[in-house]
Amino acid sequence: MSERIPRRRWIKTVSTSIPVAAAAAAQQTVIQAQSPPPVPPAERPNLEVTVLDTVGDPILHFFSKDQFATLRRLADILLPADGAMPGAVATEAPEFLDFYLAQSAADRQTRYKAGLDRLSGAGFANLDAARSASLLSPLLTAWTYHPPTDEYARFLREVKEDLFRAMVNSRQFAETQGGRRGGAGMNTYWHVLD
Amino acid sequence: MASMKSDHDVLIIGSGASGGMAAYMLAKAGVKVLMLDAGPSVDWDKKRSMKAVWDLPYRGFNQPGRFPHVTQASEFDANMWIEEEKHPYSHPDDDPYYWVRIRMIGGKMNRWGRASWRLSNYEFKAKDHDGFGDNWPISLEDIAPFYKRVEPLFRVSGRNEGIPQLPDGNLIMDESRDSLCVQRFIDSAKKLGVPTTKARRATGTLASSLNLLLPDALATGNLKIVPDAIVREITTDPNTGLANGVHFVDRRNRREYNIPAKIIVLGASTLESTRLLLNSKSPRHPNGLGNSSGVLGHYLFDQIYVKNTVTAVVPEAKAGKAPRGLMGGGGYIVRFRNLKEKQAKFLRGYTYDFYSGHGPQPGQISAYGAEFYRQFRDINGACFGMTTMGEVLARKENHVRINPKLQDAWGIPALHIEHRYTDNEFNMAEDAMNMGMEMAKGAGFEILTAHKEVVPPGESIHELGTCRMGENPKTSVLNKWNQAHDVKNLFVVDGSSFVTGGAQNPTLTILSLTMRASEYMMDQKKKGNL
Repeated sequence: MSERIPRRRWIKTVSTSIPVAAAAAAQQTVIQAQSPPPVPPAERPNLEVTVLDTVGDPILHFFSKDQFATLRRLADILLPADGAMPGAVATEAPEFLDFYLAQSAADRQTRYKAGLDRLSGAGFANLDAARSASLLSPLLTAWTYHPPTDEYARFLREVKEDLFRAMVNSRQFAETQGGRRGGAGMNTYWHVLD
Repeated sequence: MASMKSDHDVLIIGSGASGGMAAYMLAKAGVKVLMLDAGPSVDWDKKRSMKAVWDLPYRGFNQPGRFPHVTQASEFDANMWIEEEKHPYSHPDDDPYYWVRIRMIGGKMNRWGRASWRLSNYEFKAKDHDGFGDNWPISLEDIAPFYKRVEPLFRVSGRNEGIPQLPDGNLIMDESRDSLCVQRFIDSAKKLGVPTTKARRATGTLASSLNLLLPDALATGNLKIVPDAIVREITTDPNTGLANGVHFVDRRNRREYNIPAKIIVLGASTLESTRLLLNSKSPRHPNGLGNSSGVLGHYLFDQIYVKNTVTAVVPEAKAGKAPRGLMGGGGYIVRFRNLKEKQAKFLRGYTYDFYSGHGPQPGQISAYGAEFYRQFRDINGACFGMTTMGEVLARKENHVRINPKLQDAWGIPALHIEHRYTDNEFNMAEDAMNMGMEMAKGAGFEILTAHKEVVPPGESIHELGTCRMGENPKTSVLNKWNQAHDVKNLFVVDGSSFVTGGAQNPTLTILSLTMRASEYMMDQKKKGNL
């Protein structure tokens, strides 16, 4: 390793040993050695930006406090975290559904609220998994092409599928899927044509 | 005729499969062509970029309510598709019609599945075979030379099987080996007398008029393409009744224009072409242009789709234990019903696409929590699926007409669409489900789910008919050259000209019919008949 000369002593050394004109150039060299020359600014730079939901907590609009607590509990039971894979709660799927349902069709909004109210009325948020099983038993019936005619059973099917989609389409989920093909959910996006 | 700013011989409306092929043929033969398209010219490099699903505004769910009838639209490509707010249409409340549209240079070819099957004489001469409906005025022998030329243009790959209901093609031979699960399925089908083949598909990531037809046509110097031109009406000469121009609107600012034309080629897509003709009324054509028969708008049909009719599981592939070569790939089941035998419950036939190596939909697993994950992982990558495509009978009562109370954002009267499936289609779907399960079980697969539910009319995006061809001007709009019986300088070359459609994807036939019509047009022009 070469010996490091203190900056002040180094400048003094060169300023007393070379002519003035050369000293100015040498001083510039010293400055450059300490900080690399600035890159000329791009005319239209692509700035690195941060996604909103990594810095802010979503404000809830649609569900009541009880309904949302029930939805979170439901999310944790239907799609819990599993090893390194975050579950529906850690991926903020319930928070996303609060946003999404606020814009959805009225019949879907009604079904969601009624379904959560039914669960909430049964004390679902405080039940353990074993005791909640009877409330979730419609999810164990065989798949049919058409949704169930019973609105509560239909709600359960919808909320399970919605939570699953919101979970696997989340940033948090993508981060755990790193080397897996398609795990990051990248695709070609079409911008507005006009 | 009004003064011509443009020196075109032929005016083409639409830039998709049919409009693009007409431009390609005519411009290369030295004909001066002007093409109008209702959509924008899109710079694909500037208008597309890679994004993560979690960075989309709706996390991949799509904006609620934006596309009530376009199930194909994802949040990634939502901006490609036509929104009903500006482009409305109506249908009976209890019979929804899913009209799926794209407006841009290249049309729906920018998103088609590229499946490229020939029709056979079971379709062209369907009435001769089972007595229902009408024959086409042409046979396979008339169009085969054009199929033979179109297939290499679109680099269609596949395999020839030498079976009459799926005529052989001029293909890039697909000699790839089938995976073991696909071989087992093919063997099971064969035991039941069901023929299979490789998918037959235009190759390349994009096989559109945008990249395969229009660039060559432009290179001749004989083609001008005008985007953003929404044609409101085809005008006619009051003395001769011939088409003499079009009236169009600038999509962006609603400014209106006229342009004269000597010959018009209409390829705006099945229902848009018919809508334009119905909106082009005049004293000589009081019921719409070319509609002395009263048939214009009638005989609408498409193909039934039963998505994922059967989802099965290959047992040896469970728990991620599939040996190399077991899973992956797929193929196509060729029509096998009502060829020599006769089904009691339905006419005509159906086909399937089959595919393997995927996972289940979350709704297909009747569990939650840890058990859901266990079952999901157990069969992820072990699934085998089939989707049914079936022929829909062309019935006069299935029709479109102008809705006088509804206009689009440019003030152009919109369509009312009435299309209902019948027991013929529903019984066909049930048979397809049962046969699909039998074939899957015969291959040793376990059935996960099976159903017979047909998607709503229109959703297949294979809408056909409404401006059909025929020998008799009293029962058809076009002659066998796609030329209007009533208006000899008008050619309608898209899917509206179909008489039957079979279960085969229609684009290859649209391209081939247009190539044939274009050569006839040039011949007639040369002879002074146009």
